[in-house]
Amino acid sequence: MPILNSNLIPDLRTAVALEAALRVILHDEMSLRTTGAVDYLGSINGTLSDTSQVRLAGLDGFDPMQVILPAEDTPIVETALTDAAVPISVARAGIRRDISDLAVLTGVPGSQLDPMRLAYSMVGAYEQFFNVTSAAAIAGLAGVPTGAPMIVTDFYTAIFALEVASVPRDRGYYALLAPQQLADFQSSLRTEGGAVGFQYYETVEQLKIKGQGFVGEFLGVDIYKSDKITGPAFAGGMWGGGCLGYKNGIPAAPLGGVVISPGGEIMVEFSRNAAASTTEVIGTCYLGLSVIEAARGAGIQTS
Amino acid sequence: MAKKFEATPIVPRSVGDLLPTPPNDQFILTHHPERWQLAETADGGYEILPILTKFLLRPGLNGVRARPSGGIDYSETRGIYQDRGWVFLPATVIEGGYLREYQARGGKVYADRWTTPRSLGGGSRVVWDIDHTGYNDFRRGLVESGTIGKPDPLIFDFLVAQYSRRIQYEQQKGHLPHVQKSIEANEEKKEALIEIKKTKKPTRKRNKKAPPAEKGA
Repeated sequence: MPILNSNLIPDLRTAVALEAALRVILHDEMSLRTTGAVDYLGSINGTLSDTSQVRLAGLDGFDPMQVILPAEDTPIVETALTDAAVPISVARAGIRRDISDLAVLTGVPGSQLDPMRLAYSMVGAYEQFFNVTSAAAIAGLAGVPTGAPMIVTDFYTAIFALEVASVPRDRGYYALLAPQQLADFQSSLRTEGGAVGFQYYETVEQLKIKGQGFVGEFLGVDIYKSDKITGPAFAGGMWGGGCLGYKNGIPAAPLGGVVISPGGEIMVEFSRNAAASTTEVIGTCYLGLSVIEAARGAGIQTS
Repeated sequence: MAKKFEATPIVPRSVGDLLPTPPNDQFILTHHPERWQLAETADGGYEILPILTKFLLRPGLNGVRARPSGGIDYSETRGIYQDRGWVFLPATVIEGGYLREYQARGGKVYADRWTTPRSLGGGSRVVWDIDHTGYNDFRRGLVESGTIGKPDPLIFDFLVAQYSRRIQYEQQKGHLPHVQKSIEANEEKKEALIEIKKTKKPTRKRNKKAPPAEKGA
């Protein structure tokens, strides 16, 4: 009788073999933080508080000069300074994974489910946390829910709102849309006539420059999509530079097994539980994000 | 003297009883005087209702702070928002409150009382059913009780302009039957806004293309 594979199972062969390579489950990996769409306003380290006030002052032409009516010696009346302040409070966020020694040692070398891989994974967890926080901030931008799928007009309406408010273009216009909004917008755009068109960034090199989540440009607005803008009523938005800002806190490296990201955005610590033969991998960050000037943004709220 | 402690009745929960959605944050409903929308009434007419925005009680967002002793402090941010005209509606603004809490797999999920989750086939997909009638009753009640002031006449002009732009855009494809229907619907809404502004009352359903009444009826 020949040696058959079926006869070798289970003593000499396995019915199902696990592939060595580990694939990541599909999810939205875009990072709004690295696009420049949200201003980085520094860390709160050494400021004596977890909250900073972003100071806004009406200078550089906010108040234009005024004609002084005769007589020629009429005293000029003082113009009061317009000012405002917006608080940014930094809060702690984190994620923890525990993995046992046995789970690591039974793995195929390079199978990538070990403490270091889990530590690396926390970068993505932080970026998505940033996106969730940004999406929550954008949901508060002024806009009227249309109750209908997004069309090109909604995009124009948002641009008009920004232009009417004199939001400068030199710092860029950005839009963050839910994937469904983007699909509806592009569907509407297909039937649009005229000279303007959606500029897709299709090459890998172009996408690398702009980062994942960047889908293209329309009328000078960089468009990003994120599934962190959730339905059923999608509250995306468009804004100019200076609308949103964030601060962070950079932890001083404690003693022990610690990895800190290059920008100090997140700290990953390894905590050993010898009694349980497990390693705890804990990533933490300190982040605060606020709408700095709501007038620089407009909501795109569609269904 | 013996001290008595009160017990809270609980129902043991299995994983299947937990909402399979990510946790979210508590919120307070807010309104800005510039934010209104046209809504359909139960009888097929239209009325204008305030748009309510969720102010998320999420530490780190818009100046909301986590208190060292627990809890959330948003007093500073609330002051700034109120200076800009925002009205904060406490959860108790309606009898029984508007905030609801669900136990989810990763924590707690918060929703308003008119939005309820339903799991499809016991799976991981959750749909949220919205009681539009109840939500609109709530919003209408806020205006009727004076909690939210009535809309400025300019709001109507702004909304009319918005519908006009939408109609103008759709007219490019007006030869398509479904676009034509959308144009008619938007025209109806635009007219309703003009009428509400004039009469200060909700509109009633219009009998468009009603068949001629039979003789003797």
